[in-house]
Amino acid sequence: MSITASLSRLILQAKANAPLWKKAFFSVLGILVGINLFLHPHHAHFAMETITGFWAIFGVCVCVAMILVLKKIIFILINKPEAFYDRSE
Amino acid sequence: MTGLSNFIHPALGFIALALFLPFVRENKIWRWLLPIPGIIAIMGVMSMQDGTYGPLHWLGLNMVLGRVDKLSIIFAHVFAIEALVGMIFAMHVKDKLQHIAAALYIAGGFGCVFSGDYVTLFLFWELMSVASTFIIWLARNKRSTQAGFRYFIFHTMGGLFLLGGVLLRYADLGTFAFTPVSPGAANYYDWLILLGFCVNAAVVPLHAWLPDAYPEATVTGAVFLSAFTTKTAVYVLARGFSGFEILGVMGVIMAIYGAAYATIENNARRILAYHIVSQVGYMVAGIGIGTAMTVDGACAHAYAHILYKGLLFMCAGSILYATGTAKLTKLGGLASRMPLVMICYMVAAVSISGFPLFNGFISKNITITGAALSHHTWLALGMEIAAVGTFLSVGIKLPYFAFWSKPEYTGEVKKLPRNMYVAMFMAAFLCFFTGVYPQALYRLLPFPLEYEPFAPWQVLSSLQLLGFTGLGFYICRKIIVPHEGRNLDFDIVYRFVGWVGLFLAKYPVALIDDWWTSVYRRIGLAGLLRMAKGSSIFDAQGIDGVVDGTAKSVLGLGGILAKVQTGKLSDYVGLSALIGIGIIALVYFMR
Repeated sequence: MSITASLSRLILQAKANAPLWKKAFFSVLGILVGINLFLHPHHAHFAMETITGFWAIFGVCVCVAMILVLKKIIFILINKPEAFYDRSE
Repeated sequence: MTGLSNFIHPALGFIALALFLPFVRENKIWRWLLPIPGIIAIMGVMSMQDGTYGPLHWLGLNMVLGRVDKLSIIFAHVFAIEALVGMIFAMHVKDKLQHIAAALYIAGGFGCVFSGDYVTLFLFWELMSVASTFIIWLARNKRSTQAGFRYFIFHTMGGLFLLGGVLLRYADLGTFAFTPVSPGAANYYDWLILLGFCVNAAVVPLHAWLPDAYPEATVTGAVFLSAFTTKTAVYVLARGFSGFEILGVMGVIMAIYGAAYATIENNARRILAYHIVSQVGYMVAGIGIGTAMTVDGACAHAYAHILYKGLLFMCAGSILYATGTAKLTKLGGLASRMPLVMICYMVAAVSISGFPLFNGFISKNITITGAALSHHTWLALGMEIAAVGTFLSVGIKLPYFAFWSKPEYTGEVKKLPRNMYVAMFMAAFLCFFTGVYPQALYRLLPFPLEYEPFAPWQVLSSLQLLGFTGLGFYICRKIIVPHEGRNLDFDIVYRFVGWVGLFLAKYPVALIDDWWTSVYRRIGLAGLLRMAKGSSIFDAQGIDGVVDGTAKSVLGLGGILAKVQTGKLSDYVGLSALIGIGIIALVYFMR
C-alpha cells in the first residue's frame, strides 16, 4: 500500500524533528494559559475555577501525584511475577 | 400498540446467523453473511416506533420481548452499529464457532435491551453469559480456558443474585414487570437485583472478572466483549435504579480505580479492560446522581464509549495479531510500521480522553457538568481526576510505549487483512462524526438536553487539563516506564476460594471417595453379583430373543452418550445451554 509507505516516511521525518515538536508542545501550553488571562468561566462549577490556570495546575499536579503514588508505592506492593497465579496447578 | 407492525427484533437476525452458519461450508460464501444481521438491525432500530411489542404468554407468564422507548433505542442503536463494525472486523476469521458465539452474544444484548419483564431479561442475560464465556474460551489456549472458567463462575453467581432477587420480588409483588425502583422505597430483593446488575457493570469490588478475562479473549471477540456486557448492565441500571445515591459514589470510585490500575499495567489489552471499568464508572455515577442531565450523560457516554472502546480494542488486537504480543515492554517504535493502526488508535485515544471535536468530549462533559450543576461537586471533581488518569494511561502511556518509544520492536509485523482496516476506519469516522456533530447523538437521548458543548470556556478548560497532563507525563516519563508482571486485584479473593476448593477436592474428598469405593466394592458389589445371578437365570428362560433388539439399541445410545461425555467442562456448559434452549422451545410449542 502506497499510503502506508508515505505515512511511514512522514512519521520518520517527524521523529527526526523531535526537538521542534517539543518546542511546539510547550508553546501550545503557554498559549492555553495565555488565553486563560482573558477568558474566564461565566458560571464556575468549582469555586477554584476562576483562578487563572487552575486546570493547568490541576492537570499537572494530579498527573505527577498519580504517577508517583501508583508507580512508587502501589505498584511495588501489588506487583507479582507474571506466572504468579500459574503456581496453583 | 401490539403486534409486529414496525418492530423486527434485532436479535432475530443474529440468532438466524448462528443457526445458519453450521450448514454453510464454503468460507468465501459465509463470511459475507456476517455483516448482514448488523445491517438489518441498524435499519430495524432506525424505523422503530415507541411502544410495546410482541407480548408472549409462556408457562403462564406474560413476557414482553419488545419494550421500545428512547432509553432502549439509544442503546440498541449503538449496539447495532458496533455489531456491524465488529463483524466486519472479524470477517477474516475462519473459525465458525467464534462467529456463532459472537452472534448469540449480540442477540443476548439486544434481548436484554428490549425486554420489558425480568423473566425475559434473565433468559437473555444468561444467554449473554454463556456466549461470552465461549468467546473467551475460543482463544483456545490454557490461559483463556482458565480465565473463561473464572469468568463463567463469577457471572453465574451474578445471575443467581439476579434470579434470587427476581423470584423474591415476585413472591412479594406478584409481578415480573421490569419497572423503575424509587431509591427511598427499595426492598431487600431490589438490592439483590441491583447486586446482580452490579456484577455485570463491573462495579468495584465486583469488577475483577473483567480485566482478568477480556485480555485473554480472541482478537476479534474482545471487540464485542468490550461493548455489550457492561453496557447492557448500564442500561438496566438506568432503567431500574436511577437516582440511587450509592451508585454515584461507586461510579466515581470505579472511574478512578480503573484509571489507576491502567497506569501501572503492562498488557495493552488489560489497560483497555481496566479502562472499561473506569469509563463505565462515569455512566454508573451519572445514573446514581439521577438528574435528567446526568442520565442523559450516562447514555451519551455509553454510546460514545462503545464506539471508541471497540476501536481501541480493534487497534490493540491488531497489534497483537501483527506482532504476537500485547505487552508494552516488548513493543515500541511501531508508528512507522503500522501507521494506519496508529492513526486509528490516536482517534480512539483522544476520544476516550475527551479532546474537543471527538465524541468523548461531548459525553464526558455532559456527565461532569450535570454532576456539578446538581451540587455533587466532589463527585464531579473525582471524575476530573479520572479524566487525567484516562488521558495519562490510554492517551499517552499506551501509544507512547507501543508506537514511539525506544528500543524499537524489531520482530516480524504480519500484514493485517483488509477487513480489519475497514472496520477500524468506520469506527474512527463515527468517533469523529459524533464529536463534531453532537446533535445526531442529542436526538437519541432519553431526556431533552440544554447543553452547549463547544462553549469557549469548556473547550479551554479541557485543553488545559489534557495539555498539562501531557506535561506531567513528560516530567515523569522515566518513572512511568512499564514493567512485566501481574498486579494483584480482587480476583485473588475468588482464586483463593478456588484453591481451597481444589485442596478439599484433592485431599479430604478424595479420601472419602477412596473409602466409599472400597466399601462399595466389599458390600455393594457382592450384593449386585448375587442379584445378577438371579436375573441371569431369569434371562436364560427365554427373554433373550425378545430383548435382543433393545439391548442393541441401548448399546448404541451408550456409545453416543459416551461421545458426549468428553470430560471437558466447557463442552458440558455448551451442551446444557443447548438442552436448556431445546426444552424451552419444546415447552413453548407443545403447550
